[in-house]
Amino acid sequence: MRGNKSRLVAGWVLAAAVLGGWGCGRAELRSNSKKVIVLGIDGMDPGFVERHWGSLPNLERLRRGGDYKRLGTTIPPQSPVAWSTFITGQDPGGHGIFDYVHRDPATMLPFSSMGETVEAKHRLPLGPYALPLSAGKVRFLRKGTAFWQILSERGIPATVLRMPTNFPPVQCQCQELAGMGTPDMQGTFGTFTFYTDEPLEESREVAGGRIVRVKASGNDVVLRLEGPVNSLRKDRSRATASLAVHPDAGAKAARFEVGDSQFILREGEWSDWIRVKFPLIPGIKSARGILRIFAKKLSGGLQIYVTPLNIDPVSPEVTISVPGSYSRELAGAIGLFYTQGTAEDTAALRQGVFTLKEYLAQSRLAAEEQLALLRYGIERYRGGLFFLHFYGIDQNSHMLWGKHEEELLETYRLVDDAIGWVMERAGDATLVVMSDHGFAAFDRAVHLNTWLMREGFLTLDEPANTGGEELFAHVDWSKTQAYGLGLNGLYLNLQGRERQGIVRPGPEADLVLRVIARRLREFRDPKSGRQVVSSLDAPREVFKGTALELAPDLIVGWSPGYRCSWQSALGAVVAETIEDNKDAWIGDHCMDGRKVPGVLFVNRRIRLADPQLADLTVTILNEFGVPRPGEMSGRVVF
Amino acid sequence: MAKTIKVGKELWERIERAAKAGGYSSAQEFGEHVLDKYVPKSEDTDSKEEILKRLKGLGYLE
Repeated sequence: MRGNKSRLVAGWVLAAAVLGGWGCGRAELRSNSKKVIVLGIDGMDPGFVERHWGSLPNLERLRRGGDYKRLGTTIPPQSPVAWSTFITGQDPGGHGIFDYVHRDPATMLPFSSMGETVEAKHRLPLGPYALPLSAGKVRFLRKGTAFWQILSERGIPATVLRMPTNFPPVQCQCQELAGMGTPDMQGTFGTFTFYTDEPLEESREVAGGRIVRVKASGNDVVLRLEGPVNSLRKDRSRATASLAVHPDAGAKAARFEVGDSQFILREGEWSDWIRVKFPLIPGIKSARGILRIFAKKLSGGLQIYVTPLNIDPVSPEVTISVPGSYSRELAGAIGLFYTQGTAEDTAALRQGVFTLKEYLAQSRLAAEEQLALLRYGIERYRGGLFFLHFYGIDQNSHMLWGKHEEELLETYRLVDDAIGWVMERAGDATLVVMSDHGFAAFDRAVHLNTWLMREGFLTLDEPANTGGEELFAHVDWSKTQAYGLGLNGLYLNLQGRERQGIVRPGPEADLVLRVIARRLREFRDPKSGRQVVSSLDAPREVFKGTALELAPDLIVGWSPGYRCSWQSALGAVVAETIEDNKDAWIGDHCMDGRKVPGVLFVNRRIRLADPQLADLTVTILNEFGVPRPGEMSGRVVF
Repeated sequence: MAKTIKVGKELWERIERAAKAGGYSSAQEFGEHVLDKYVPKSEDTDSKEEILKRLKGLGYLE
């Protein structure tokens, strides 16, 4: 392994020397002279931008000096799907990502389409430990070649920071930092911990976090920090570390001790990033991660928020950058930073741990880090491709859409300032600012599985067994023709594919799908009479690619205002078919893709009237003189 | 909590002989190793709770 890394680093150094102009050929010189900067602003919505031109002077300047159009997104308009299309220039049938969630038809269990860490299978028992005989690995599903791999094969340098659905980062002679989809040290997309001495609270797991009731009573308290599952132990218990808190209620402050670190926080303050070591085999092996602490309440009670345990970019336990040392270089330049793909802790707001103000402050911390990466990258950028993904507008839109316009505009302004800073330094570079999708309100939650049950396509073992239990707990597969999973996916229970499939492939499957599609188009919201579904697409008919093994049989395009419910997306069958969305997550985009386009700004004229995401990939390659690869179908935009 | 599997006397004796020959400390350890190696892990590597926990941190799912 070390040998491979050395060769990779050596290869990179050699390539850098060549690309730096030491004896390179004329063609390479031409390549190097080209500069393309792409800022991927997740969730930037055209309608919002068009309402606020006056507050976004740099985007307005980019539009006037270049061009602006709405950018067609994917079906469905989910970030992993859309970014995979941008990365590969192919539709979902080409890259094989159809939803945040896929399912294994052999087990009917869901898994993340953005990859998961898989532990080593074979282990050697030794006392309380079970030592892995092979390394664990990361399940990576996206097919196709990333466009910057094509560039790097031609000697064109590329720096790709926080690209979504690129964990682990693809191998090439380039610089990459993984983005959305990168897990925390617990293998989740982010698990916060909230310690509280509120008498009415109970210790419990919540979506995206953990509430821990502590008995503090104003005295010193030692909190147990949970680290990763100790995969070396037979009992798979979690590795732990201690966080000692010494409150001074009068001063509304406390001294914190964790490992070798000691620091004082006042109430309402955030700590810097702290390195924490979690012993796996005491004295022999440990896991390292980083976390930050927010002292929410230090007088009249104790409330401490701890971020998800992030992979330490200085000594990552799994590969998060290419070359492997690049994350350390970045941390050396800008300090430690969130490495988990989704840093903005919407879960803490939704669970009532953060107030909206506290959430926005935490989101701002994450944003500042992403913009520091941008500044560092641009200041060292000499040519080729530069890409950075910014996530804050997307995550904040989920929490603010339609109700907190001014607060959301603040995030747009922050991005607009950064775009202005890049414009001043772009020189003769082609500058592209784009988003993967836009946004809409999420007012009504549709329980697709319940609708299927009411329409006779899904049957429970007992009619009374509706409820929030996920993973199709009470579904009678011998009497079920179709089921919903993920935010837009509808699947047939197909013979020969699903474990207990009953629908025969061919004419029978076609008929069931046609009937379901007709009834979904007729589906009206009983509260308003509005049409709930505004588009339906059959992947095997509309997509060009052949990576369709995991594709749903229908992609349901919800009308703006509607989205699949939280429960149905994970296989629950509740009693109601549709209900008000009472969650703090009030905006969304996992709907009819035609209704939530993204944005495209370029400092050039856009030639196409209806640019699409897949067109951008081909266009960037074209900028470097690379002809369109056969598997891509996009058009040149400018 | 540990669970028990009953096997026939002849098989048990073969397991004991194989465990001894393979350098295992006990037939129990050998049996666990063999079962761990050959029983498919697609479903049991992660509990359903772990699967849901991983997905729910995403925000889009709860």
